[in-house]
Amino acid sequence: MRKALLCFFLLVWISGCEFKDIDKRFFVVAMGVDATGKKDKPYLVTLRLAIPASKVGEGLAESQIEKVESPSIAEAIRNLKAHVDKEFDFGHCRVFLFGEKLVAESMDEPLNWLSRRRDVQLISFLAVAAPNAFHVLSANPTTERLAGNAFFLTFGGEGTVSPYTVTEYLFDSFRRFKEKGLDPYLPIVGFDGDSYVAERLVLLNKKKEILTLDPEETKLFNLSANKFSRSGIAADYKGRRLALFISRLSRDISIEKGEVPIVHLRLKVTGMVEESTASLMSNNLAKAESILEQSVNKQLEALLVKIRDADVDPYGFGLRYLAQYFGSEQDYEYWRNVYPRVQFQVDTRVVIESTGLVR
Amino acid sequence: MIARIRKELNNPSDFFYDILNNGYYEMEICFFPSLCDQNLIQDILLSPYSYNFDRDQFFRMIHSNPNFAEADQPEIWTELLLKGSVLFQLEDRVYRFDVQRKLQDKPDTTQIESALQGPQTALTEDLDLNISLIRMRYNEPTLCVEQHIIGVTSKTRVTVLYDKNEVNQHVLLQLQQQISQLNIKMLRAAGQLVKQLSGKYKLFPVMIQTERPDRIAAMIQRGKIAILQDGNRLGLILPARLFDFLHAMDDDYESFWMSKLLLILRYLAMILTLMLPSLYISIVSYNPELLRVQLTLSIAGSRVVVPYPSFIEVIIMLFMIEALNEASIRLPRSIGSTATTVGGLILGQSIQQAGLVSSIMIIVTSVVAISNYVIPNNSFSYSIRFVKYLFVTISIFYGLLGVVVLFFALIVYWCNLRSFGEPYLNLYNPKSKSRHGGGK
Amino acid sequence: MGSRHTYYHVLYVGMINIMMFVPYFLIKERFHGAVLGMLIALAIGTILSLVSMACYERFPGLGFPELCDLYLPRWLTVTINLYGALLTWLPAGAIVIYSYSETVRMFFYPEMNPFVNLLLMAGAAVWASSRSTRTVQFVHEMMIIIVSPLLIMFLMKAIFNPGMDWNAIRYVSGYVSKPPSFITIAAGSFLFSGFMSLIVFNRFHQQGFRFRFRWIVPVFATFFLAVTFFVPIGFHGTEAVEDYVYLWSMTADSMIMEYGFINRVLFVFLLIFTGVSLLFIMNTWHVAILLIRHSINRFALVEEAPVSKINLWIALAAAGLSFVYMRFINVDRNQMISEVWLITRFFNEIVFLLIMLYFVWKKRKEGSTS
Repeated sequence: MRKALLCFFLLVWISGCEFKDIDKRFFVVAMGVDATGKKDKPYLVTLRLAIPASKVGEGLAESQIEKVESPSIAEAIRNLKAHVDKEFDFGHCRVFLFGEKLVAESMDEPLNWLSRRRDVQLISFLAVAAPNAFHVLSANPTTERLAGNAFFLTFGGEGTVSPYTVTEYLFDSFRRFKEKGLDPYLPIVGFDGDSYVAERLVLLNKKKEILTLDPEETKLFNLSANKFSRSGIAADYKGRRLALFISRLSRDISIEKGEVPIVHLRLKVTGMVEESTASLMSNNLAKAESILEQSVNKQLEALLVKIRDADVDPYGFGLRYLAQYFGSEQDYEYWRNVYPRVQFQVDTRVVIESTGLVR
Repeated sequence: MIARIRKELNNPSDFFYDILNNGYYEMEICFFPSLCDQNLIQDILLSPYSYNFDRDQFFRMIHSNPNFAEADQPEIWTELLLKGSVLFQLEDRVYRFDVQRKLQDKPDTTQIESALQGPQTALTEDLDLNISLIRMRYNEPTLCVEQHIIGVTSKTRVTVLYDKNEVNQHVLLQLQQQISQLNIKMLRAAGQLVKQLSGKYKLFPVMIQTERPDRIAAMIQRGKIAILQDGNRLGLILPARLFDFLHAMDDDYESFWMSKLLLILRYLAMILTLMLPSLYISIVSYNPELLRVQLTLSIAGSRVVVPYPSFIEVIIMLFMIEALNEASIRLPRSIGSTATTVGGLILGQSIQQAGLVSSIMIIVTSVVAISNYVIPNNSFSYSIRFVKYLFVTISIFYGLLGVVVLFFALIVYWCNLRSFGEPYLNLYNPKSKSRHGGGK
Repeated sequence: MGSRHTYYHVLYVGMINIMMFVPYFLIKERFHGAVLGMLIALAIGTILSLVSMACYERFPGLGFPELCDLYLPRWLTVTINLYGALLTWLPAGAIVIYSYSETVRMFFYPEMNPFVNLLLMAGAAVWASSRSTRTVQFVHEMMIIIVSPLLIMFLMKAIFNPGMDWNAIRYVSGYVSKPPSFITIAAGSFLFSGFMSLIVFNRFHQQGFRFRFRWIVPVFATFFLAVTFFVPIGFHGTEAVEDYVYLWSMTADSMIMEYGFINRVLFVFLLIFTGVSLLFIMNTWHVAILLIRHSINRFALVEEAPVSKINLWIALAAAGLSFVYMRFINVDRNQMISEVWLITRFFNEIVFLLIMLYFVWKKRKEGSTS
């Protein structure tokens, strides 16, 4: 009995310094890093802190914004600790925004800071904020229940699932920034007055931004690179617009070796017609399908050529080449040299399985 | 005879003694009226005495009636009298007639362990009735009934029941050894036997205490040993396994799928009641990033009103629940319902509105309290209630990791317990042939 | 007492290799022969384990120390037992308890004193390993049944995750023609080491006992080996995978559980691994305790109630050693020591197998002459 009491007192004495109640912590739900352009304080770090309230409802989310300029991100955080009364808790920070200027310069330092911290989740969302991170973070979406929730719902797939929004996880970015034959990309997020808008994509090489895609191209990219199937394709049919909702999608990439490698991208799209003012009889379906196929082939090939000319490889064709032919270092060198001349052949097969409730 | 007895007993006032004379021969009779069944004395002894004028005939009656026996050791006379016998002396020969008063002749109804569709009879405080209840259910000639007298002052009769063919011989031997080494002054309840036979400082019970004869019969058939005690309505069953404590008799009587589901529910409830307060402390104070962000902000929002750290909150609420539990055992029936209302209202609404406790804590507490009573066995549920505080203590110092490590340590403790040589927690217990009783 | 207990050993050793830096060694050499090394390790490991199991089948109810007593002089028995205990089993537990408590401390409580954290794990491990062998076996079964479904679910979730890049895996597996370095073979064969616990646990097997379904051993070990090597590459790519210090924790962090209380799979992963690590440490220290006790007084009982105090003292000494270990070691040096241990263990397994073959040969010789 006495031994147990002694152990108990020892325990009380030596431990327990991690004990910090939940209401002494300030939860950071989103963080943004901007480039200021100044020499001595190049980073502007913005934190969005969630204020817990006992009443929860639509539009009742309260948050506090803190920002500071500093030579490095770690120092900025330490500096910001003195601006608030509670301890920062990054355990729930799942959204990291980077300003456009920063992405145009270099992503090295922010990524390094992100990779070292233990409380940054590898399933965090990364995005580029337009025009800058501070502006986007200070905005309050009107129907947000909890601070930061709108981001989670937009990117996380629990809320809206849109083909224009590409979700980029942190572990995927880490992988892409170092991988042979695979290049990174980030979605662009803006604020339109009462909610977040994410419909464009920026493609990067291993260091900074190279190319920005507009919404249509983003949708096509999402379709072909990420096999995002809740998408739609449209074409002109008999002078009218025909829109197809894609319910199932499968894709196959194979690379043909040769003097100049040819990348074969085969898509099989199964869908349902959403809108077509021209009527579709049963023998017209084949014609409609072929028109859709041609439209997709043309657009996708144009996109692939545009991406190739910018010398970035977000699709991972390089890695696919190495995997398909069990390559080695020399093969990668060869691929790097020959990539600007690579040709693309897109082969789509569209199957219209139903025309909706009317013909 | 009477004079000697009266001297030994210090002339008690509730002692009846007389010298009867039916006109032909004398009989000295003495007994304790409070301990004896007067009707039986009247019918079997006194009536025949009053009209049996022939001495030899009376003697023949006495010798042919199995109720009467000779009591020729003067030392045990007072013992016999105190046990509820009548002593009568005819011509220097002392006889005894056992007429202990039976206070109960009907089996009791279950009060602690009720089954929905099973039998509702329970053991009573009378040993013979209990044995008959068990014999009625376990109607085998191999049922052995061994009697021991334990308790220097109380001289309580204790019987050990087992099936000769099914019983585990090692356990039986160990039990008999331990009983012979017992040293109790006054044996009042089965709990004392439990403590003496299985060790005082064990955290978990290694013997099942039950009031249901059908459970005892089921256990005897599985090779376990039952101990019944005179004056006590709980029987003891040993050896016990952890799974027996979570097995309610309903599982045998209800449909297969539903009983399996309820069994899973019971295990889940046991784990919830053990770990929920400690998980609350760990998540709120050590690692709030564990849960998803919406849940964390809800919890943070509900804790905004509370001024002190989470473990104080937990200790306050657990104390109130324990106090409520204890009080409801001892409350007189007239104010019973008031206390429930007061307890529910105070613990529920008001304490949260006063800002002393967060609303999540109320939910945690009620889940803990309810889950505790899902456990069918009372002593096991007490142990779980106690171990819960160990979990709370370790979560104060080590958080979530402490809870998980302590759970591991608990499993090790359970596997380490031996209930009379049998393992307490193990999944597959093959019946090895060498251990079973001989003589098939 | 069936053969399933040996398979449990194989299972948890397969699972614990994540904590023993085996993935780190394999992945460091991924372009320099790791794949071929793994294949060789597969072959060697299968042979070692199946042949050892067949040898132990011939001596039911006898553990390795008793067999040494039967056929070897006493001083040799004591030497081999002490060597095994002090140089193979004890350091294994110490390495795992150190790596695990540091990993958990990193993610759960970075500001806690590392010794205080170690105290918690060491306390539980000391208590568990100083119990009798029968108790240890029961705990084993219980914990495996609790932990395995969760772990298998986690692995399935990892394999079928859409974020996993199969191209990267194919690319790395194309490096099969490079010659392997020795550490990859040693590290790969560690996954098969579960059978080594037969040294002590063979005392439970009864006369006429045969291992059933022994193909489970190579199948499980191969599965775990493949998963250990390829899954992190699938998640982190072929280049970035080398940078992570806590590789599998980061792999676990890359998965998401959308419909549940806990979002980050990392925490669930770490808690599952608490169970597995404690199981491993309990087993290794228990085997070490029994070997030491046999060297001292030929103790060979399986059940002991209550457990004698000497178990507790030896276990406390082992825990004390791990505190000392923690004092002088950081993560890098730990990796070095793991490397040395893995290679030593590889040779130990071969030596023990040869000794067992010698015993079988001697028994057969005795059987044929008597």
